[in-house]
Parts: sequence; C-alpha cells; structure tokens
Amino acid sequence: MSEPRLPFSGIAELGRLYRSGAVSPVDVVEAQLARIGEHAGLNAFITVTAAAARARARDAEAEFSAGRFRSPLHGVPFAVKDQMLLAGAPLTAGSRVAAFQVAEADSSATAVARLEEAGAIPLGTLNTHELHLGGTAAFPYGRPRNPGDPQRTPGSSSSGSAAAVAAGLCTFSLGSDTGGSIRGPAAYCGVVGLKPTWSRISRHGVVPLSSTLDTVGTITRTALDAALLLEVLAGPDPLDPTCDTRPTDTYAESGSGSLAGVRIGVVEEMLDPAFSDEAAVALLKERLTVFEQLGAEVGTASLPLLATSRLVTDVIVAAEAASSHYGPLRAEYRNYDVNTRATLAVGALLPADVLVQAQRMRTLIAEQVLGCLAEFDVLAGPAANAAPRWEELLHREPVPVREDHLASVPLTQIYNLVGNPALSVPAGTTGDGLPLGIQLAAAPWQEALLLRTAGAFGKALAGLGA
Amino acid sequence: MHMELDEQTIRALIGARELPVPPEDLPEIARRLNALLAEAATWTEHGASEAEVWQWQFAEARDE
Repeated sequence: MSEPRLPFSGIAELGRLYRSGAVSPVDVVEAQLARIGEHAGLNAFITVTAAAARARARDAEAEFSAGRFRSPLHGVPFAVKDQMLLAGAPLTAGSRVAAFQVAEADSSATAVARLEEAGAIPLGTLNTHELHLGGTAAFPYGRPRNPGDPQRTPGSSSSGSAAAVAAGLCTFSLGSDTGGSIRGPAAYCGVVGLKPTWSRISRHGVVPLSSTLDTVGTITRTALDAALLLEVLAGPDPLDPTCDTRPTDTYAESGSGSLAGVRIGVVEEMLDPAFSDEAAVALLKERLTVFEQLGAEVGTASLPLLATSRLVTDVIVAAEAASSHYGPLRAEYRNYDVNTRATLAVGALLPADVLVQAQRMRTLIAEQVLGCLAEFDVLAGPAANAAPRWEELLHREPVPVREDHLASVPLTQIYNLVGNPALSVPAGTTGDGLPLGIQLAAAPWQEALLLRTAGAFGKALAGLGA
Repeated sequence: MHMELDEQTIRALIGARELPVPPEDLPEIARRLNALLAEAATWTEHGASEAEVWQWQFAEARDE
C-alpha cells in the first residue's frame, strides 16, 4: 500500500493490513500525526497527544509481532471530541469557562476507555462548538474548517470529529449528538456519522448538555467501521445509571449486501423546500434507485410534526442545559460564548409549564415517528438541508444562530426527541464537488438493521464510482 | 393566547434568577424567549395538553 493512502484507510482495512504484516501501526500513527501538522489550519484538533500515541503504536507493533491481536480496533488511531475525558489530556469542552477546564484528565470517559482497552490509539482531542451546543460565535481554539473547502463550515457541533476523519487526520472519531451534532458534520464532510439509540453508549466522563437528548456516537469512513465500533462501545456501565442494560447486538455481521424485504419510507416533509434545497432533494431521489436495485421496497412516509420538532427541541435543550450549567453561568457568565450564554439564560427563564408542554409535544412527535417505523423498517431523508455553506461563518461574527447551522436541524432533531438510532451516510456530491448525505433512521435498538442498510448502500455507491 | 414579555419583565426575571446578564445581551435573550413562548402557545392546537409527558415509551414498549 502506498504511504499517502494509509491515513484514509478504515478500521476493517487497517485490521487486514496489520494481520498480513504489510503495515505497522507505527506507520499509520506517524502518517496521521504528519497530516495533523500539515492541516493545522483546519483547526480540527485542540490537543495532540503525539508522544503517548507513538508509545502505544510501538507497543501494538510489538504485540502484533508476537501474534497478539486484541480486537479489530487494535492499533487503530482515533480522536475524541473535546467534551469527553481522555486520560492524560486536557479537557476544554470548547469553552473558556473555568468550570469545564481539566488540566490533565486522570482517567478516560467510559466510551474512550473501552476503545483504549480494545487497543485503539488516541491521537488527541477534537475541536467542538462550546459545550457541544452549536452556534458558537467565537471559537477559543480556532474556527473549525471543512477539509473539502476550508472556506465552508464542517457543521456543528462535532466539527473537529468529522473534519479530522474526512481529512485523514485519524481513522475514526467519537462525537456526540444532541440534535444532529454527529450527523450534520458527517454529511458536510462526506463521512459516516452514527447516533445510536439514546442510552446505548455510556456518557460517563462526558460534559452534559441536555440529559434526555445527549447521545455518544461515532464518525467513520464506512458503516462497517461504525458497526465494529458499536460492538465495543455499546453496553451497560455501572458508572452511568442512564446507560441501558439490555444485551448488545452483533452489528458487524457480514451480509450478502441485499436489502430484499427492507421497507424504506422517504419522509415527504423532509423534501419540502423549507427544509431541503433542490440539490439535496434531487440527489436523494436519484439515490433511492440504489436502494431499489438492492431489493428494498421504497415508499413514502409522513411526519407532519417535523417542523414543530425544532422549537420543541430548543425548549428542552435550553431548559436541560440551564439545569446542568446554572451554577457556572451565574459565576462566569461573560466567559461563555455569546450564543451559548443566550441559550442558557433563556433556559433559566422559561416557565415550567412550557417545558411540560414541550415534553407533551415530544410524546406526539414520538407517536408519529414510531408509527412510521411500524410501517417502514428504515426512514430516509436528506441529512443536511444543503451542501455546507460558508459566507455567514467567515464574514460575520457573532453569527446569528438562527441563520447558521440550525437551518438543517429539524431533519435530525426529530430523532433525538424520540431517541431512536439514525445515521448520515455519504450520498455523493453537488456539481461543485461539495458533499451531501442521506439520513437513515430505524426503530429503537435496531442499529444492526440500520448499519446493514447503510453498509449495503455505501458499497453499491462505491461500485457506481459515485 | 400568548402575551409577549417586554424587556422590563425579562430584566426582572433575570434579576430573580441572579444572572449577571449585561444590557447588550438583553435584546437577543428577549427575542429568543419570546419566540419560544409564542411557539409553545400553538402546541395546544396539536393536542399537546391532552398528551402524556414523555417518559421513554419506546423502552417500556420493548420490555413488555
């Protein structure tokens, strides 16, 4: 394998190369560390733990020489959204607020620790919108850029997580998704972003934003890689009482690639010009033929409360975030970004009956989504309303939050309200070469079906050269 | 029926919560708060007042 390709190899591919002896984890880590330096202008990383990564790579190389392969993740480099603890690294939460600063973490978040135990090699922490809220106006660690076009946004809030994978700065990354913070950036950067079912992955060691919506997930090059990761990450954690205790599934099962019998419902409201531009809708419709060629039955689904899901989410996020951050907000108000503090202040002022009404609306929205998921196995729609934009982000600060990244959010937020799994899979590019993604969603706990569907689609699309 | 909160009222609420909000932040907070209150006032049209409060129904349904 030629050296330039190594940083872009996926987990499954690296595993094969390691087992064949063709490549050492030292080579991969060095190649990605070099790219991190070369692409520092993307502002994808906040902290690079180069020395520790090199030491782990040498250890993995020695283990491989002795024939010891701990897991499919052994020797695979990754990075962590800077809102979850990575042992030995600082934590910033993308914020200047002193309450969230950890000079050097003593231990890793459970999700990170599970990856480390499986032999994966952390390269550092990744840039994020402050407290993973989205809409940050002034980034303390530099504004993240899209590797496809640095003049454009990589999406929010797992901005560095998506940019780093897309740019070959790490093989996979961890992110979090409260209203689309994994799926949006993945779509904007042309990679796969998985938000599992709420509570599927532990949140111990993760800075909270909105407790009933926050979900830890992954950004990868392929759906198969996401499946391999979920097998390690999912499962109960005694340190997180909200983490679900049901047994995990086999997510990376190799199938025939056929989607025969899978019923896919295209959410018609997501194709409305209010939510998705012409290019996003046209590409989605074109790609539906790929699902049909794989044997899936494609029909039309309807979620009339899609538009309502946006402000229902806004109420719940604001109230829950204010609950988590009220103390620091009072103590360090001016250290928060201007958009973050406005959201938190609104959350602290909302009347309680409005939050109750929002939770009631959430019930109605969930009934619609789960009703559709009784009729269809998978729901489909654009993952972002358009290709990544640029002008607002680079020429106006502070960014009026409603005119920036939130234009896409009803497409993704609705599945956070329900808690069911959803992902963004690359669907191709616009005429300008900008990435667009398709969002797929399944019923709660049906990650295996979701990943199988996305995997089959991704392979078929690669076969078409798209 | 929704009544928009004026800045004086919002200032009083901010004071009650002991938040050190500078005057320059007030218009944006007022705009966002009133937008959410106006939207919430429409939710009864969707039947929100008759619905149960969300309680992770999907997990319970699966366990049954």
